Amino acid sequence: MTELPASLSNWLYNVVQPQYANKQLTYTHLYQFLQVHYGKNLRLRVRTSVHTSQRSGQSTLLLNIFGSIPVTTTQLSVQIQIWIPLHYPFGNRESTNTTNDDTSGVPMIYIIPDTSNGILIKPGNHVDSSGRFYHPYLSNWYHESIPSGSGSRKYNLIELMKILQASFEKDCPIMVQESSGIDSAPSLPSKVPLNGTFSQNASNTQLPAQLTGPPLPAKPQQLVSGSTSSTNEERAIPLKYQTPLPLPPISQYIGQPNAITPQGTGVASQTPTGQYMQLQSPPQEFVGVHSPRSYSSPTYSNSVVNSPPSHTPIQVHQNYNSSPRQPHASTTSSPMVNKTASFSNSNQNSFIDLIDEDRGSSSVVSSSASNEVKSLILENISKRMSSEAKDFSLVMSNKQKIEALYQQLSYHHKQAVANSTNLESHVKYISQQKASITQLNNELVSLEESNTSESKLVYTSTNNSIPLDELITPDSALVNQLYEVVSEIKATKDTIDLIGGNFRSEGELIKDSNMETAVRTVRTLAREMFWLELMKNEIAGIMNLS
Amino acid sequence: MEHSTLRLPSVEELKPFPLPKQLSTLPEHVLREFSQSYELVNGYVQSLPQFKGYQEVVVQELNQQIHKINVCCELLNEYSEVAERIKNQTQSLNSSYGEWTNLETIQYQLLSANFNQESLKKKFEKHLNETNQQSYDEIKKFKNSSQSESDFADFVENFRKQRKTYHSKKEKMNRWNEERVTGFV
Repeated sequence: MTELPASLSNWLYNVVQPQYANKQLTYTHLYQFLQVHYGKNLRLRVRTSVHTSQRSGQSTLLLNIFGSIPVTTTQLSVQIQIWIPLHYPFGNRESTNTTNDDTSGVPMIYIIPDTSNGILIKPGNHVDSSGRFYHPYLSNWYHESIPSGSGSRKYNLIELMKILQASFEKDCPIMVQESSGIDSAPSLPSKVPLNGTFSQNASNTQLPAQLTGPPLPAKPQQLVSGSTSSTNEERAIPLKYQTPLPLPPISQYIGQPNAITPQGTGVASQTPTGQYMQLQSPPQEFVGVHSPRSYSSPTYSNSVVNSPPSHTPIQVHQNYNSSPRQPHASTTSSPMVNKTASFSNSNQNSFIDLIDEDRGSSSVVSSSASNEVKSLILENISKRMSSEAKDFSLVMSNKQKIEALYQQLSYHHKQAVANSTNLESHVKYISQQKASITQLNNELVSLEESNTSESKLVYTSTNNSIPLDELITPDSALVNQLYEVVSEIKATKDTIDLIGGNFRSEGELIKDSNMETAVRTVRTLAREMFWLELMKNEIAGIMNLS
Repeated sequence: MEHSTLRLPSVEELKPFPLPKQLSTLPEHVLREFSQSYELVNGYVQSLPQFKGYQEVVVQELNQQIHKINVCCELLNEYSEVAERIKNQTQSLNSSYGEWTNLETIQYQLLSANFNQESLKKKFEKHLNETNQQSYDEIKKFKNSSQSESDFADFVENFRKQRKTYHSKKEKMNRWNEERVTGFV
């Protein structure tokens, strides 16, 4: 797939945005379709054009894909047009009329015959005489392609194109008109005053018989006279009321070529349908030209009809395409046919809505003009709405941006306020801690002075103090007792040494005056020391000390 | 205004047809000129009630957007004030934290001065030496006395008690140096 030109994608967006119901899906399908086929082998292109509904007659500006599909089996190229309805691809589910083309959402496909080159429509299983393409794929489209489902994967334009190609390869919907067969047809009466119109076939008084009875023989003179004597009032009848209504299904005609009865009103019977009823071609004339199926229903094909001399000499190519409608060219040499061909050639490239067209009537011209005015107004409104769509998208974009900005600002503002509150609590907490530590430091300063001045106490606070001796405590009571015993032994030794004059550099304390007292004291001290030593050894034994 | 009401109408929803009588009764060539003129059709579109309704909805939406933008501006101003307050609070917090750190250092120094183990050891050792000196002072005191029998007995008892105190403290000091003690330290 290739990228589409920006101008094309922008144009597509501007067309889809204001009108189509499912904008995004329609745009996506068309974009993908063009990526596959735009400028490729099929040379399919897209445009907008006014589509006139077959059912409601309402004109709508729709997207139109047109181009040709080559058919390898016949070496022909089938020109097609695909109309994209406004409710593509799901249809208007709220509408009660689900079979209406306008609301079904199913693309409408038409085969466009190139009559200038003798290419005619060959009705078949999938194509009717008007060139409308039918297929089970299209029939299932509305029912299976629902907004909530995955139908868009199966029902899209790319898949549709594959269906079309496969169908055309199997049964080519067009055929080439062979000149030999036409040339070999009996010559037509030369006197056919056509007046450039198609309504010279029958008079009003003949219509009921044609509608109900078997085919009547052709009456060329009456036709001619009827045509030439038609009044302005008769001309004022729009062509869409002179053209035949859609024909019944082909199955009704197979094997009964002469039993065709036009459906519709008496007015409709004034149309060339009456000619078809009278201008049944001999079957052998179609051999080699049409397929057997086409031969079985020659009138249904609406192709070139050669009439035998005994029938009406008028040869008319009638095309019932709803839109666009192009009269078929003819290669016969009949003046009537030539006139028809020239008419076709002059209009073969224009899109003429024959339904709304009349010949020579001012009121019908007015109707055609009205349609043209309507389509121009619609185009201008579409342009206006396209520019409005840009502004609208800008408004919506700004709305989203503003909403996002507001959400972000609100969030950040709340976060900032919460952060400020949190910081405030932190500031208070650290201020309290600072005050507390300042007070404690002041107390420590006063304690330092007290501890410096006091040698036997350690102040832990202003009111509490610990005696210095109690700073160190023995591990257990037995150890404490051992310390006491050892200290007393050492103190006893110091006392005995002092009395005997062996304590450091001190002189002896024994004198003649206190000899007896000193000896008795030393004896007592020695006896106590003995018991203390005994106690020490016992404690050491308990503590397993060596 | 609900979001669903803010929607771009389609051409069908604008209901441009049928044209009003003022237009439909115009001569054909004038009507054709009208249809070909984008400006005139634009004016016609703007006169359509559906389009006017759409424009009113858009105007309401725009007013709401303007209101929200104004709210955003107010939020920005408040946000600036809060940001300034946070800035001041952060500065205050940093300053207080610095002061608190200094006070903590001073506190550590004061605690060390009061309750450091080395200083306590020195204090204890000083106290030990004082006790030792007291026993020597007792000897001097006895030698300077009359040295009677009663004085001798009292002296021996006091001296022995002081030496016991001294040796007890010295034993603790030794164990402390060997870190084989418990207690306050």
